Amino acid sequence: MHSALTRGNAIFSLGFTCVALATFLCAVTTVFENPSPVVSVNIHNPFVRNQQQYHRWSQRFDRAYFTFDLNAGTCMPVTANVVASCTTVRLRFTGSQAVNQIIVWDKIMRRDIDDPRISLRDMKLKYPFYDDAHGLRGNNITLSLHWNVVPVAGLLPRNSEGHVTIKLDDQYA
Amino acid sequence: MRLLGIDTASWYMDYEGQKLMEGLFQYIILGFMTLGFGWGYYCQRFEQTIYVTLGGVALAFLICLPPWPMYRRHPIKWLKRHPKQKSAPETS
Repeated sequence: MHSALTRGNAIFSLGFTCVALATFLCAVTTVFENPSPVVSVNIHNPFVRNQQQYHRWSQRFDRAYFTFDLNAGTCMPVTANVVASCTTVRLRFTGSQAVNQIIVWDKIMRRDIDDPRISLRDMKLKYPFYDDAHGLRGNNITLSLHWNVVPVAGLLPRNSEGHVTIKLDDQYA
Repeated sequence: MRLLGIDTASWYMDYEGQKLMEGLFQYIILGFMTLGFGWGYYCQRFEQTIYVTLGGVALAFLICLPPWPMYRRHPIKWLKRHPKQKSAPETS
């Protein structure tokens, strides 16, 4: 009946119910939190070239180059329900596909280890910006900062800020 | 019955002790969870909440699992055997 095992089971189950409850309450604390940092993005020296891609030597594709400045305030709130922030700089462009979006720079910012602010100056693209065909000349590109704040528990919000649009040259450089 | 070399009968609590233990471990664990949540919210660290809650669980195990003397103050008083009855009545 009321043996040591029964008592142990009761304590264990209530204890871990409480851990789960605390986790749920932790998730609730950040439901209405919506970080909106000041983000400023600038694009410098954009130009387009017609180039061979690394893995398809027989064909040529449009490749665009530019450097960018990015300044962002703290897009990762330092609260209890935060593990890290996965930050990407995404480029949306009018190209040869229906939707064209690539990531040109990224960083995982860990809580208490990395600086939650971003300050980039004349940054080159971390990943090359190719179109699948010849759809870059004279088209618009939009650069923006996207980030996910990874929570301990709860929702994974997707935020984006600082959209800036420029028009690429009509001519190959 | 013997479990891990301990006679389980010696780990028995009386009824009043069981009632006391049930109330005690619920107060300890819920209290530590509330305390831990408050502390974790104050310093904005969720792991602190978990540590304090699990500390409460450990304390509850220590206080409520072994049959301490405070749980055995009201032993069950069994009736004496009826003198006329020589042996227990057989059940069919």
